Amino acid sequence: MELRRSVEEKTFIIITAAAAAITSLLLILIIGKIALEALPALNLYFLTTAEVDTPGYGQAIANAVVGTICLSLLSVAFAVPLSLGTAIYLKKYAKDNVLTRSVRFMIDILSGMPSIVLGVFGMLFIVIYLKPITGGLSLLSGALAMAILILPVIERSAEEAIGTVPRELEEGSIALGGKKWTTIRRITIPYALSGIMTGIILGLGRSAEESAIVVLTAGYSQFYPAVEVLQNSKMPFGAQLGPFQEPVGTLAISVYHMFQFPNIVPRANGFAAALVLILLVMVINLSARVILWRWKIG
Amino acid sequence: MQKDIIEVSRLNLHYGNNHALKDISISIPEKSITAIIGPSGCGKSTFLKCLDRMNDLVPGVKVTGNVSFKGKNIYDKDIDIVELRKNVGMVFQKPNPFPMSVYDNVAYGPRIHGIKDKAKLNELVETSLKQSALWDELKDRLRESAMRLSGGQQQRLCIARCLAVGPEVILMDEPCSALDPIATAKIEDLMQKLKEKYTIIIVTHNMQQAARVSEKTAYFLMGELIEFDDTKKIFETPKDKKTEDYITGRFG
Amino acid sequence: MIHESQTESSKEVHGSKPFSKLTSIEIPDLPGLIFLLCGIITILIIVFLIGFIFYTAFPTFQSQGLYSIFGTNWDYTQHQYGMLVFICGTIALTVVTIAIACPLSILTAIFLAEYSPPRLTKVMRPMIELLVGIPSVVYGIFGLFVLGNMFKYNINPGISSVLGFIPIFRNLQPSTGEGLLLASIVLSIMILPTITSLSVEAINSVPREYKEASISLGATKWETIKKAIMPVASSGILTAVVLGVMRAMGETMAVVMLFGGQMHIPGSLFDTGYAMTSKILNDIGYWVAVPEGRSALFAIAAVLIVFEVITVAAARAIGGRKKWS
Repeated sequence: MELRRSVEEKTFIIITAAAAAITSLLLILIIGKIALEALPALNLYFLTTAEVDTPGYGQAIANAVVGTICLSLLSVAFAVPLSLGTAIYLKKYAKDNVLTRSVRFMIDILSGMPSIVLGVFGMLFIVIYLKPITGGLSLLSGALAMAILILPVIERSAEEAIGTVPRELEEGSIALGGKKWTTIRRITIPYALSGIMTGIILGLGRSAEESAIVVLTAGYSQFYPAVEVLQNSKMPFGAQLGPFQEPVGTLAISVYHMFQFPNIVPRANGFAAALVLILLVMVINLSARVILWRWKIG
Repeated sequence: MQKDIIEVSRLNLHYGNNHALKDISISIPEKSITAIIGPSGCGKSTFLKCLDRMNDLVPGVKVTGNVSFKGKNIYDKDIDIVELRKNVGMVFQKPNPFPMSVYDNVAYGPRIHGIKDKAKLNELVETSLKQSALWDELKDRLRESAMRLSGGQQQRLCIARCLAVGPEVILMDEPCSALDPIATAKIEDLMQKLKEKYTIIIVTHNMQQAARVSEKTAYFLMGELIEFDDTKKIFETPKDKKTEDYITGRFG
Repeated sequence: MIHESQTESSKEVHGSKPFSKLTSIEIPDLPGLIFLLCGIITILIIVFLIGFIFYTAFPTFQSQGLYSIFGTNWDYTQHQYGMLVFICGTIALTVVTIAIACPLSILTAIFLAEYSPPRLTKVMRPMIELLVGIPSVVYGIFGLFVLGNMFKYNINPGISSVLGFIPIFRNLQPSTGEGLLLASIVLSIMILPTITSLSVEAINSVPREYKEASISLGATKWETIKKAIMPVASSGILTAVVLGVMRAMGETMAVVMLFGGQMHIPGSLFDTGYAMTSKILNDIGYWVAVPEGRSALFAIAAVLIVFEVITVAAARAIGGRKKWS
């Protein structure tokens, strides 16, 4: 083999290895740097106190942590029935025709929708027009808008999971005289459960890290989300139901505050909020992977 | 006196803990057809793949021993593997043409090895297709996708592709097992013509095929070479009882 | 399909309803009806969402006509809403981002799929995937507070002093590190995992036979990759790139923090710019209460939707519907 070919071969091994090295190391570099900057602010007080109990801005994030978790859970609660139902219908009831294919196309469009578009839709329609129901900038508004965002995430995972259920298992049930829903309830869903759970958890993670939508629909609060009833003459019945119809604090916005008020929020605190958020999302995503991994093995 | 083009001496191969080839020693004569037969899993394909070092692609493979091609051990540190594979070509069990035109398939090898001149490539393509009895069928369809050809045509195309780089040895790993009897017959005829210029080593699970086409036959069993002799002798008067058992169908 | 082997009762229902003969929706049992309802609600939400945006945006398109897309002046008091600056900002950002991300992720994918020993791959792949778990706000502050000064004092002046004679490398904003290059680099890090993992999948799904055939003909590994594997994997890789484009176009938080937000089309890599997503985010807080301003901002959102639909259609045309999460 001529020299050119062997030189070319060796060169590209080096180039591709370098690219891979850079890409993999990025993660360590970024998280490492953030962690380093966050260190001074990471203490128990910071993590367990609500911001309202501190002077100024950004001195504590406990309310934001709780708020993020509440918002994500509520979003998932709204999204799961719809996306699961849609996935079951598309996969188990509908024939493969133009109609189902256009439905899937629309779901694909939704999944690629820029979050700012969902954010302004949420702001105008959910927060302003639907204020009597949602209470304006609130947990409820945020969850509704977020649910639309994560709908396609859950739906696609569910569809894929349902698609892996072996035909023979289902046909066995039908052959024994089972009706369609019975088969789905007893055979299909249990088998696909892990995959569905993975999708749900991915949706959870997605809503924890989302910020554009939250800024425009959930507002911000320095308080913990609390179950309470406030007097508000602008609302129907003069009552504002917490925590749903009240604004909620989220980690993403805590971090955003660092950008908005760089002179008020201490640098370390902003990075600390960022670190907590990263860890929260990673824990959520990792558990999705673990479930998926155990499902694939079992 | 026919020279031996490939000399194997004490070849051992391990897949991890599995000792797949045990102390194989055999000498393959040039410009003839040598058949390797044996039951499934006896190591014949593995052995074949040692001869052009295709086993290198399998992770966890360890090879010891000497495999000499024209006097040089191909497992030496300083061997040029690319040259080796140019000289020792392979045709696979399932036809695997590239998803390209017929022309591009045959020209793939020469192009890789540096031939850019259009005229030379055209000539090589024509010669190779003629040698594998495809030229008349395909000379007006050179730009057609190879995926449109029938199974038999695809396999002959793979042979042409192999010939285009100018090998001295052609390894065939059960080349007809995915083909119908008519296509098989065409390839067996092809082999008879090719052996005038090339050394052919064919692995086959079809004993009748081995008896039909080859001059010498080797019988493998469980990773060992049991017997290697003229085909006539193997099939009519085998020396080893194990060989006889296989030939007469007592097992395998 | 499973619904063909139905029980007798369902078959009767199917046959006796004329509606089901006209459309190809079969009328299922009660739970099926509930799921059908879910599907219908989902579609209604999507349609309503898009419709609402366009409805709100319509007055602007009506009054501004083509100026809304090609005009360069955006002024609420002058009632002029031309989004060309923002469209160009988004396009410039996307182009540079893809230019940076593609070579890096495709080369990485080739390494992971073809060269890397399995144990190394097992370590590297999760490390790349985990980059997805970093929220975009965090990328934003990382870019701003960590990289920002590096760009302002070292990178921008450094590169432009050497290559500044080429227009694209002039340092037009010496007072800040924000700009096209910074935003694009951070954005490429964000989309790296997407393009890389989809490309790895595409390369891995190339049938092994092609690789074997190429190697047996005496090709080196790189030649095999270049001539036998990549052409077959190209549609999968292209789909991955298109999806990367989609993410880059729609990204808001990181971009608004890093692009600069000055009302002009970037004149060089180190110049600032204004992306469509940023404009909406910055202005909607105030102008949502004013019908005209709100409509104008929704018009930008409408154009974003159009861009996105085109990208989705392109991705499907190239690669078919795949798992893109």
